[in-house]
Amino acid sequence: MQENTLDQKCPSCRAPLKFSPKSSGWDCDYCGSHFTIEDLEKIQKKREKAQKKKMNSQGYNCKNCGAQILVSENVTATSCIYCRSSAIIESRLSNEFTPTSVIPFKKTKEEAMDAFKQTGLRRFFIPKEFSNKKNISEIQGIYIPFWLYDYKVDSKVTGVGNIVSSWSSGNYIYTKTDEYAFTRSGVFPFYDIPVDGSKHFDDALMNSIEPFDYKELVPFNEAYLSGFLAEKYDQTKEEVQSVAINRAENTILSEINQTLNRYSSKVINEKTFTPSSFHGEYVLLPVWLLNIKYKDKIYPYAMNGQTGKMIGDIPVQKSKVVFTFFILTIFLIFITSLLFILIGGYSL
Amino acid sequence: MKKILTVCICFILLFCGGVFASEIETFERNSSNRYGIPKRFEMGQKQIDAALKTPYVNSEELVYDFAELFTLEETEKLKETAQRISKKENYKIVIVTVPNLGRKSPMAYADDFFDYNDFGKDGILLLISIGSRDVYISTSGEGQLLFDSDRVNNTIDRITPSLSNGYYGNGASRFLDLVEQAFEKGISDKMSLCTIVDDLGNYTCKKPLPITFIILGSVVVSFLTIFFVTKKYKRIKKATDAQNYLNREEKDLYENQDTLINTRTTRTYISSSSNGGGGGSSHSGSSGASHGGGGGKF
Repeated sequence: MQENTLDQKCPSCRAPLKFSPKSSGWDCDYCGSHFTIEDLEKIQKKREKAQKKKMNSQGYNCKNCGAQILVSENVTATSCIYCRSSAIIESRLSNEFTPTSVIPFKKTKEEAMDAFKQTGLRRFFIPKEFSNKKNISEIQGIYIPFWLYDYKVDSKVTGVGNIVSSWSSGNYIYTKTDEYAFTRSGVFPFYDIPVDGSKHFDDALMNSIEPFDYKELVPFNEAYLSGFLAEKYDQTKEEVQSVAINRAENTILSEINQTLNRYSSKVINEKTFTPSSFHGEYVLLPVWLLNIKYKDKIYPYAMNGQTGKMIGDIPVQKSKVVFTFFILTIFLIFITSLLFILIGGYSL
Repeated sequence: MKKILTVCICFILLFCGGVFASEIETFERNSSNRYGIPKRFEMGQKQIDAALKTPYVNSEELVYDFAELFTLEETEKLKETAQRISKKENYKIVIVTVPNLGRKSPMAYADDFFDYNDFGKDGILLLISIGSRDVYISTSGEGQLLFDSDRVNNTIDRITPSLSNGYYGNGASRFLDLVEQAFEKGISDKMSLCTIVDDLGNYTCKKPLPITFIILGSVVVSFLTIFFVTKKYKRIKKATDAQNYLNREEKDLYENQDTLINTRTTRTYISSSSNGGGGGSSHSGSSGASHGGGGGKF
């Protein structure tokens, strides 16, 4: 197994070069040079040729300090644990594992930390220690492999619905039930339904930070990964497509249901979905991840690295809840009793 | 000789009857004594008319056996008991028997008898009309609270059998026993929330606080509040729809068909039962005073 790491170094001074979400380019902290994607592509091609000549058959070593880097098999970009310089494992991004596009990080680590601190601010039942720094694991910016599915589907729903009207005349109440047979057919085009292609990121957590703005998708270049972690997919396009299809079909049914709300009751007899086109694309999307350990439980938090949407479950302090419950109950008893006595003319 | 004796005996009997009848002292109602109408009442034509149809009696006697249903001893004993209770409790406990009610209802007769004599505000009156076989208890002032409708109905039920069997004295003394028992027990919990608000004996009652309802309601409300607040703390949710990814401009609902296939009409009969709830247990007499009470036939 041959794997190469590709570190991004400043072409001018060879200092480590990281992608800057702020300037959407690469800034060298040392010599102040600024590089665009075009600049780096040129330099990269040159270097690739050079690297192919000196392939390392022992695995991969940090190009900066020479240390051996151990990473799990799906990691495509990481940083050297010794010198902290970024390391991109090129071979894992080749062929079918080359994403077509990527949304570069726009939110910095500091913005992610701030966003996390905001989550608990106005929550009443949050334990005080929860947002304490010592419980927060290191925050990580990860490019997560996503499949974006385009799904165009011809749908047909048939069934029977009832419209009930009633009126009274004389001493009788009349109830009229009109039974209709309904058919709804339509074409529903969906674009870019995201499904994460990595087993070890929680699907619900990834769902919760949707949506991403796909207008900012740019053609993939390894250079975007420098300074961040990245993974390759371990669930193929075919393995997870059912997730996207289910989501689309639920949406179609609710869209059709909205056209049926004049029926007070209905039965759907038949629904068919005939896909006219289906297409999946492999992209990397930016996510800040952090874990909070509170009372032996890990609370995962994720922030959309593009829009800044921060999501994670907030723990509830049980003693606060119980206390509030009692205080609220006693307060309500007191207030309602007072109202009964003052307004309703009741007496103890 | 025998004839003379019979006539004599008859005469003595008549005389005796006259003596018994004359034992009930009555006064004449006229403008100088305000027709016997107590000052707390208005004195209009209605009140005067009603008062004139009501005997004006000595209010200290308390037992007025116009229908002569009790024996002499019974009358004495009833008077003694009624006066003892009345003095002790500062009430007037009255027993009236009449041959008939004239054109009045038992309720009106009993109320008027109490109001248009000098019995005061608080009292309980038992009326027996032998002609129409009516028995009626009228309560006034505090008596309305002490002798509430439950106690009135219970008393009527307990004394009716004696009256039906002609034991009028027993029935009346049973009535006094039950009144005395009521004093011992005091005003019932339900009626203790009521207070007399004016000279006419009108009273208002506070409803007891539905404390169980309030506690249960408060527990449920605060539980739901906290449940829905803490539910928002769980923010990681699996996506089940793709609303954000549907292109609504390109969406084309090209078939939208509804065909009527069947119509049914059914009718149900509305029964026109409009029984309102029972009214309050108190009413006003011709004087305007508030009374409680109840009665029946024996």
